[in-house]
Amino acid sequence: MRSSNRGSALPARSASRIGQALGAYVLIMPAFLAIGVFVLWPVGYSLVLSTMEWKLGYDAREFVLLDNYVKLLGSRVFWNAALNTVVYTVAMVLASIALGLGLSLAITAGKRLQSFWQVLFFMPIAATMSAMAVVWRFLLDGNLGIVNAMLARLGAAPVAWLTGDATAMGAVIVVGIWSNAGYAMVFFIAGLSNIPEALYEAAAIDGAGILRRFTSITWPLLSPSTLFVLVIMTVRALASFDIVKVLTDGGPLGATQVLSHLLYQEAFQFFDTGYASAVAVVFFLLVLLLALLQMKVEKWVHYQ
Amino acid sequence: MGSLPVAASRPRARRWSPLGSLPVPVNALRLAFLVLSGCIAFFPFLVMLSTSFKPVREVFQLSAHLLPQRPILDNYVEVFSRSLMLRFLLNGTIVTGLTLLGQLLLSIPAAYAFARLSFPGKRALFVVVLAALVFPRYIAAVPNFLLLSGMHLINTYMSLIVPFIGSAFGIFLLRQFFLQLPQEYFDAAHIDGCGLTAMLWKVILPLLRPAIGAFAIFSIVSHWNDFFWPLVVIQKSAMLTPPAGIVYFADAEAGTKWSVIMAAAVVVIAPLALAFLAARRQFISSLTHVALKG
Amino acid sequence: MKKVLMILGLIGLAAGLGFARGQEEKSTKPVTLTFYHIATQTHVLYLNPIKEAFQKAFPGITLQSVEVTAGGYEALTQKILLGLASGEPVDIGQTGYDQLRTMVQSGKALALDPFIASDAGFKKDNLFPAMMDLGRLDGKQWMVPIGTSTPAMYVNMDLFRNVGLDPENPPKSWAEARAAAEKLKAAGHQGIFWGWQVTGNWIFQAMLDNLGGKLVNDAGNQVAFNDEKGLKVLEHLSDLVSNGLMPASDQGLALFVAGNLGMWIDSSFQRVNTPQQVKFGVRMAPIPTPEGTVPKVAAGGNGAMIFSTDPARQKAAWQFIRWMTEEDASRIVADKSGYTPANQAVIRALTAQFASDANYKVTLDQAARVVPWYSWPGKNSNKIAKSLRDMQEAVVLGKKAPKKALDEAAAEINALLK
Repeated sequence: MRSSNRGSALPARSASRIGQALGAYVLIMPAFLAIGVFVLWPVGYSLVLSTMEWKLGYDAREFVLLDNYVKLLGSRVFWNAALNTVVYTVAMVLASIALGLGLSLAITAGKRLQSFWQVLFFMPIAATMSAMAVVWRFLLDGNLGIVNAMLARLGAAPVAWLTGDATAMGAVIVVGIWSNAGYAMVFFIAGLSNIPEALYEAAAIDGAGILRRFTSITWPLLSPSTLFVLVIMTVRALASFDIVKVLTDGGPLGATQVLSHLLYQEAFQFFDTGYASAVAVVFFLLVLLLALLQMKVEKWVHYQ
Repeated sequence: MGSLPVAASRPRARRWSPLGSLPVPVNALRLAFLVLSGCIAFFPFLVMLSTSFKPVREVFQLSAHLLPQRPILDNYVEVFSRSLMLRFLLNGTIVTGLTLLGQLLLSIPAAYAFARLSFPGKRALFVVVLAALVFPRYIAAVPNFLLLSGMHLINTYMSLIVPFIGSAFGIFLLRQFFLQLPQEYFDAAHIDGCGLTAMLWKVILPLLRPAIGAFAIFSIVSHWNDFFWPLVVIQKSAMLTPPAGIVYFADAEAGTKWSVIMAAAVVVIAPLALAFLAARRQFISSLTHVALKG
Repeated sequence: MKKVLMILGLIGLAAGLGFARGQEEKSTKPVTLTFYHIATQTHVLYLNPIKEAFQKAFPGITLQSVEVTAGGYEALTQKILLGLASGEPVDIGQTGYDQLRTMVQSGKALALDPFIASDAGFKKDNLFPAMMDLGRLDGKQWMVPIGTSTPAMYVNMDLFRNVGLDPENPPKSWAEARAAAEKLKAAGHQGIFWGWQVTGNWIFQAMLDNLGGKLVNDAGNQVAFNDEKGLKVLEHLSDLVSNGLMPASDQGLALFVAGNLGMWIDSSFQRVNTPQQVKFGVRMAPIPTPEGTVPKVAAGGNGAMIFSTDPARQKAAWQFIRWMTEEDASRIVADKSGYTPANQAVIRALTAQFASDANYKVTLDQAARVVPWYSWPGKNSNKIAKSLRDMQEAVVLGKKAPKKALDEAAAEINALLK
């Protein structure tokens, strides 16, 4: 930082402050330019596009203002996708947190093999989701899948996993949990390692059993991790496009279609740019709502 | 912010557990739970691997035989010789590598500025970073696609790299790291009369290596595994990355050559899976590092 | 004097011819063409050899491909239009016959008449007129046929014999087919699979056509399939599935190749490759019709269209298209797929070659009786096709009653036709 002050009218500290500020802006500019262009501007432009009727590939464009939103709100397909998104998100997030927590407690309760269990349960997260969704599609195939083969061995009837409405949704949720619980587990293990041993020793002296240890020490002190996991899991749940597209392609008949899938379909299969942008805007509002809800939850978080 | 917790760099050998010492029946339950969950976690991998060694015809019989009757390598031969798999892997490597490079180039200076410098609007701009962290990329898909096609970048590596070089996570993570570096490092550099760039290069970067390592793992994993974006901007099959490539391949075989599809899936997940197994501590600690800083 | 004039005239003529040939050679400057096409495992079997052979014949032109592996002709059309919208080079697009109107309405396709008129080497008469007509719209020729197919039924001969049915006399009517399926079911096999999922709702149209029904009214602004005929098609499918005679699936090829399905209704396109994938005998037959009459068959298949924007590439694209109609390419199409090419010489050669092939006779027979594959007007043909497909899927999977599915689809499509 140049500290010379040749004939400047400003006092040295102000000049240095301005210099520092300018230097800072230079440093953050490239990153912010990139974020601005590819993350922020699209939100605004989506808003603009959503007021237009424009089929990609054709030159005709016209402003229809709120017509796309009217169509959206009256569309059975849209509400179905919105509902599916909420159902999937809630189910996947809660189950992944519960399972992740359970696994973390079970693993840390043991003396050996902790590393082995962690690696095993983290493998689904390290594996490319779309490839594993192809594998799951094969596993659950009504005619050739090994799951049905095993059911047949046990004398049970085969289940049309991917063609039944409820079973398809169940399958998507299960695959979602399968591919995310390990992530939660890893964070919980790290959070658990931060709880001072002294607290547990004191509890042991007091004669506290497993349940009491959990409710009065573990759970409260894990709350920062829990909040963090909640946020991360929600973000991942909203990014379920891979699973849905590959496992069921939104089927059967939209039973597993989520908003990200609807967006892709409208934008890149039907080329309905205006309508797809309206879906994007609504999706954005949903994300905003979820973020606000989570900020409320933070009030319950117990920081050390 | 305190110092780096020990757990982030090395899992401590534990002599006590949050649950306390367990009575035998409860311990048995615990083990059963772990084993059952472990089986479910591992099952798809097992089926994928074993099917990849089965001849195509064997997969048409609905059988619960997990293991192949006579393992063959033909499926892998087909994947490597007749499909675009090698091309997909190359594309994935190039795109992931260049994206990481771009992200580091942009995030390190920005992270430094947020951590060490004061400037008007810093808080507001940081809120923007936080917001961009949780922002689902799908929402920006249509405008970004229009922008890139306007620049005639569709079907190119650039279209896969450029939208991601502004990494909010990079700024966030590296800022954390900068905040922990003791002020003395920076003061010492000042005294030595280093200019900003020299300071960045000679002093900061070597210190940053663990943080860069952590970020690199995160970036590589998420960009290598990105399925949605290549689906949107790449139409030429030779330019696809592995996640989109495996689905393209699975669709082309129309569900009749499952064992070859499984072999292709193995090839697609192998690089990251093996990297993970080799560097598992780093993988996991790079993630938890962020969590522990709240 | 006359002699001098004659000699001068001859020299002039020779020069003119030489010049013309020179022009042709000059036009083969190095050019890169982008060819958009389908690349499922069965389609690459004829497309890859064609691309290779073309490159050999025209070393000055490089072919690059953009491939579509899922979603049928609708997905291919989408990709082509998307490529054009993104400013990508799109030179030749393989186009399903049912996508013709969509492509023409996009305004991006080139009418081929000027090329045909100026190219003396293009022998229009070599091509089967009915097939060329499949590429005509509003008085212009937009598309050149690559291969045509018709709906056909494939019989697993071994399974038929197992249950006492005669594979040489497959069922001709819906009632007969149903009865055969019952026999197969009783022996623990799958009975029949109507390929409702084939791209463009082609089989649905075939079933509807044979009941005397229509998809759309003459004005093209309102659907006509939601009458008692359309209902009959859906009720028949629903009946088959709910009685366990037809698998509730969309994987026709996989089911047939797995060997437990007795009758599979799909495209004659599958004629060449399916028997190669299986160990049992395969017999082809016309599709069963409601009353057992000779079926009306909608022409399936695809052709090639030109979208190039620059004259050098347009010329090269035309060369590709023209070459596709000639003997070498047509021979590849006929050998490597069940498609019938438009080249009459090749058709004649095939007829002689396969005189004793019962399966080929079916193909040939039907090719002479094709009716057009309906091409939806307007900008929403993709959504319409999806709506029809969803309608059938709902019925096959037992999620909606036929009447409800029919009425809902009709309402949706009427809205999209506006």
